Amino acid sequence: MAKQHTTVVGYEGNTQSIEYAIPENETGLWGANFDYSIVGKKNIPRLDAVEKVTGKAKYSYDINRPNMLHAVVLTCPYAHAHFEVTDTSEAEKMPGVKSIEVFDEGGKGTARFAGWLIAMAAAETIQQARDAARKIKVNYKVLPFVIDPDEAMDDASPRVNRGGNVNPPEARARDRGDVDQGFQEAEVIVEGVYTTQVQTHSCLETHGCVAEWNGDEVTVWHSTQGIWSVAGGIASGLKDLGLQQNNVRVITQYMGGGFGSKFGPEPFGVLCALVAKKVGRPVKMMLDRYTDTVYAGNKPGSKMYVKLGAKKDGKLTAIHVKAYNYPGHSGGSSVAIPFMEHYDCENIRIEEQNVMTNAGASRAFRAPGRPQGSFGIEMALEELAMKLEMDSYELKAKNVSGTTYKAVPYELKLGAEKFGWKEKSKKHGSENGKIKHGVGCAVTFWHSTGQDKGASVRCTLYPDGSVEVANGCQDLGTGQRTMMAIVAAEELGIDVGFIKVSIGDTQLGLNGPASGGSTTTPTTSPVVRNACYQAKLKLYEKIATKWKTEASDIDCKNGTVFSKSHSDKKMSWKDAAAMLRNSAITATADGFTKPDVPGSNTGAYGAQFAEVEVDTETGKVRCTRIVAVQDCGKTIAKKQAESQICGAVIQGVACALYEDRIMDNMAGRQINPNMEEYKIPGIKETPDIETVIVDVYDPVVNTGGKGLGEPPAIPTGGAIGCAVANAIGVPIRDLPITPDKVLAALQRKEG
Amino acid sequence: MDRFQFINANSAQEAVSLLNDGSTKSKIIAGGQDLLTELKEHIAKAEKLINISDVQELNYINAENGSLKVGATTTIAAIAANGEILAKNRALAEAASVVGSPQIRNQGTLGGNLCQRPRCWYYRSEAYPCLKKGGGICYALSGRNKYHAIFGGAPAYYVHPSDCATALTALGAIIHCLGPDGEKTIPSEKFFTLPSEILLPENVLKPNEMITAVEIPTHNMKSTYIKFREKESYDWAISAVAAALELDGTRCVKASIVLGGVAPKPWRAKKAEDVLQGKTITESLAEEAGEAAVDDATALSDNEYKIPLTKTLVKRAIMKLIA
Ligand SMILES: Cc1cc2nc3c(=O)[nH]c(=O)nc-3n(C[C@H](O)[C@H](O)[C@H](O)COP(=O)(O)OP(=O)(O)OC[C@H]3O[C@@H](n4cnc5c(N)ncnc54)[C@H](O)[C@@H]3O)c2cc1C
Repeated sequence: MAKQHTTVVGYEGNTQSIEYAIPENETGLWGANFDYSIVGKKNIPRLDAVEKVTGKAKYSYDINRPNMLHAVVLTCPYAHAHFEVTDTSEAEKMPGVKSIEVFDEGGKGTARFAGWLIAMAAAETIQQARDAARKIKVNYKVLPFVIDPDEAMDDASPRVNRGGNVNPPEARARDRGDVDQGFQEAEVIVEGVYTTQVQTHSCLETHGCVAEWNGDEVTVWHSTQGIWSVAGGIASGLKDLGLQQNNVRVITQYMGGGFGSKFGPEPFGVLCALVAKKVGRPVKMMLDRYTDTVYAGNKPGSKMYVKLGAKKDGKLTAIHVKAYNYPGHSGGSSVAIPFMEHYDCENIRIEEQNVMTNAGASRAFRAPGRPQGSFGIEMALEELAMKLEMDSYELKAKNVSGTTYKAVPYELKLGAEKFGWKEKSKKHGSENGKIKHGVGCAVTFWHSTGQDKGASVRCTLYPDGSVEVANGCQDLGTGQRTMMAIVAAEELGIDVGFIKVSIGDTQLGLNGPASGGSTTTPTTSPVVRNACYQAKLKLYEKIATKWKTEASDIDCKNGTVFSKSHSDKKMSWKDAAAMLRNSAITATADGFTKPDVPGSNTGAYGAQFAEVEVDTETGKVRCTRIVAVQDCGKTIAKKQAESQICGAVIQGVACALYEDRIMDNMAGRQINPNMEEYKIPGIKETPDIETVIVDVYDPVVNTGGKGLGEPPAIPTGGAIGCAVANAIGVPIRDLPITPDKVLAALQRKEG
Repeated sequence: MDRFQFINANSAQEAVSLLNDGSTKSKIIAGGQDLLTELKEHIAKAEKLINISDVQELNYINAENGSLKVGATTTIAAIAANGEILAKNRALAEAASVVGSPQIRNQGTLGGNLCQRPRCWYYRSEAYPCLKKGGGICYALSGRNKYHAIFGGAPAYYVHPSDCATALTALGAIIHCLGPDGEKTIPSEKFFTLPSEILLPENVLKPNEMITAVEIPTHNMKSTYIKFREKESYDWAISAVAAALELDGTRCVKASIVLGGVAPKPWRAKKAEDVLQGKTITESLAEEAGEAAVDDATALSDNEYKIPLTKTLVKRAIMKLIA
């Protein structure tokens, strides 16, 4: 039976009342008029912060089992080669060695990039395993390769895979309106070619796992964003051994970053489990930094030919983009969404192709394709502003529109105020002196939508008042435990201290989402509420009998259970729970029902503002300040949200100014696969980051929560690129904006 | 990492005896910041490591009568924190303070800093049998060379990575060495070498010799070290300048300008010195000196930017000294 509810939605200055229906056994939306006690009221610190900083939290990297072997992988040093493992006997005879295994059937195959997995050695110590891996004899027949994407497009270039290097052979086009008509209407046209580099994930904890058997059951501690796909992958990978998924347990209690690169068992995960079985001892394999960098994914580079048409007042009339994405030897990417969705334009045509090269395969990286596309559209708009001699914020503000759930115009305006845009903004390149300052802004959008069937949550109420909330998801590092505890505490009307969150273990038997796509909060939080709601109703029924009232007459706030109709009837949460005596109440909720309100669920929006300082004599750019305005629907865990925004901004700064996978054109290897020459920003490169979180009440799920990992990672690079153009008066169209490029651009400008 | 024997030396003399006991592949290890990486990456080979990091007689800073002597195992952090060095040999203190990260400065020693091997990415990768590893070619010449040399490159285009070496050369330091034939001193200027002179290593030290100390004789120079890096948190010098000037008001009596991060050894910018010698320093003279400093520079495919960059750094270092 569906129940009718009403609530207030929208954001400051733009709210409205709505009606919606939800099944009886689910709880209604919190909404803007809900009387919150914790969400948005108390600033709850990350629950496992102390564990993490004291080292008590055990990451997969920290798991050491009795009698455990250490494994090391051997990779191909050539960009393209037929290989065959010809002799492992010497390696097998090395001290401490227990196993040498190959990744490909028969130890042969074709390596399509330098870093291809070939074999794995397991030994008593990691040192012995490393020494042994070097003694594995591999025969390589080196093949012609191609590294430079421009060269790869040439028909005469070596083929990376069986098909052509350009995929699909004919560009796939996305159209809106009539782009030719749009350009005819245009009074001004700008064109530019924008390129973005390959960025590696560089997770602090590298990829890897520990596998241990107990009879027919295998337990795998895996540094993963998705314990379920790992469990499924290990089971299917070892089905020849008769392994079934009911005998696979995957545990990820803590992980040191994934950013989209840690899904699935990985070939070495399956091999670890296999070796552990064969040798009868636990096996640990965590990739070394080199292999992690070259093998375990990256953000694809891109080249975008962008043409914009606009009226003299800055209103866009047409956008045409021809984009090439560079996913390495496999995978694909798309930069289309920022061009299509960030600004309003009726006539759009995006044509895209992937260009394959003999380099490591790309993987999802914090908002796949978006930071690239964002850099393209923001820079093109900046150049439009330069051409029109317009303030770029004014221009951008003119091209966004909102709804009750889409607050981007409001966020752009709010950001400009907090940032002090009016005082700071000046004509492009107008500042005198060697050190020049500039400002830039950019908007963001991400569809952080929840999966209604994606999670099962169990809530257990114990007689001492303590509560366990459990789900089969894992904490990618976003603060998932804290978020779940806050939601449960708010729903139950008790302090967060009562709540224990159990996650990161397939043995909980509770379906949980992979941590990706900024979907975990909208997928799990409504189910946490539903489970708590169902559990508390069971408790309220017991109390209702005692108080001779209905369960629906009972509520709990700030740890006091009370009757809504008879204010004298109340007791503490602990006393209420004590009525359970020697039993416990358990309720499991499977998924949730979307309220399905027209116009709702438009995603998370925001705007970022960057300030830079450019030393025109050395070419050095420093980003000194970022103001990040962001919504994630209704913010549930504010501290964790701020921390997500800061992390995203730092990765954006990295992409704008520092990180670059540099490939050696001669041998086709990454030449900086380390933390010295691959320049990850440190504390001195980190700008002052001001986070401004906006609550947008969107009836998308009952908590109103949306995901936040990705949205703030999208606009930073574009905002910084625009700020550099504002400072020096010439756009640098190629990321990262390093001193060599700045000096060259300034020289071109002068000469 | 291949197996090796690790021996603690109790004195400099003992370390040298151990180096000369007939076995071939013995090496001194001090802080191990560089050597261990080389061993792990299979760039260097050693059968015996002679540890001098606990040799107390090599760990000292003596600043007396205007001259300075620093023992070889003194940490970079200790040099950076020393008030006497900052007062009289500021370029060295400043150089030490920007070496690597705090951890590296705490562990790394002066001797190790001067004898550290190049950071060229081809040299540092086992996959490339380059000139510096006994192979036939310098890959940087036709490969990726954004961080490589603009001076003195041929036949190998790596840059000397030591910040301290640049500062010490500008300050006219003398390197004290100990070998089987006893002690000797070598001016810093002659200590570091170009690949055209000696391909391996980057200095005149023999495999059976070691550095015991570095001395800076008394001088009247004001000095400074400016290091440019892409990343302030820690990074090698993309380009660096150690400038030491003897000044009479703003008139330059004597100039010593040495460049780092741009050549296989600390690179004396003779032409820049000549511009300054005997002249009153003004912004335009400093600019002229900057131009002169890069007069003989030749860029590779990716490092043209180092030329205007270095010019700027020279100008700024000079101006900083008269400020
Ligand atoms: C990540 C990183 C960043 C760095 N950044 C910088 C930087 O910005 N600037 C900079 O200048 N350096 C930098 N370094 C290098 C570091 O400063 C030096 O490696 C360090 O000072 C070396 O000292 P050590 O005592 O650890 O040397 P070790 O590693 O012990 O020795 C290095 C070499 O010197 C030899 N050696 C050591 N002592 C003596 C001696 N007394 N006589 C003869 N030979 C000797 C050894 O045999 C070995 O070949 C960096 C290093 C790392 C790892």
